Amino acid sequence: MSEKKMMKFSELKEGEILPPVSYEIPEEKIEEYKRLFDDSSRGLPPFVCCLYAMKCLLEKYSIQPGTIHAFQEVELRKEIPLEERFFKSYGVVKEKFNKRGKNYVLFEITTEDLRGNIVHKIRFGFVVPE
Amino acid sequence: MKPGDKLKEIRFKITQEKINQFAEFSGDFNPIHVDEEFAKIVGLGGTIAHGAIGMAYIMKMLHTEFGKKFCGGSRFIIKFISPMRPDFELKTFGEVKEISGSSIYLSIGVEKIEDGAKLIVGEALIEMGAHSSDG
Repeated sequence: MSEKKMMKFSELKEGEILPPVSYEIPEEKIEEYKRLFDDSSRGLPPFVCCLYAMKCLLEKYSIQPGTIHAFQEVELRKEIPLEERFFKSYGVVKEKFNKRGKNYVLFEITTEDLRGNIVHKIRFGFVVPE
Repeated sequence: MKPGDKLKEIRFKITQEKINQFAEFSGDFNPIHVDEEFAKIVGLGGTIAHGAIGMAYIMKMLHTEFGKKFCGGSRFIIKFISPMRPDFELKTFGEVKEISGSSIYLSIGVEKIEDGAKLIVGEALIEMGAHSSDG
């Protein structure tokens, strides 16, 4: 089992790949989300799917304490029936830069269903302490 | 739907309990969310909620309004411009800015109920003509 590294600004490289990770979203997690956000919608909640996509980042790195979520972009391409819960996510470090003394890192993650259809693409920026 | 139309807002309150529950749910135990002392040391003045909590409510608002069209053909971008702190009473907002063909452009975000201060701001595009299905 590989040991996870702490995500550090100085060590991340633009273009660095976040390798594909396959996973199942458990039904209990969907129920937990619905309770937390009082959401009675049908189908797999897109938020839960976006949250799970982070797995490909979190399999490789642990998030440094003090890291701040600065922005989020989401492109939803496919409605997901509730019974469909197996996905694959992979990503890339799109950009890193320093602005007003803060270290920004931008990631892009793509998620596919079992048939290879793109479910969503998410892009997000973190401010990383060091 | 026409420019100026507003989406049905969702009201919610941030509490430390809710933040802790979300940390359990997401596995994100970054101490800025759950450790008051750490959050003070790093200059945040106290714990702040995960930005994803606000994002979840925004997505719920868009999903409620647009249903399958939101899931199958939409894009949004949000910026977390100010922290959501415990005891803040908040609400989502969404307003149609422009309609072009089958595309609806909206401003979206989260603001404080008390004074309207915006904590999350962004834009969304819903493609009403699109509904993906992989058949």
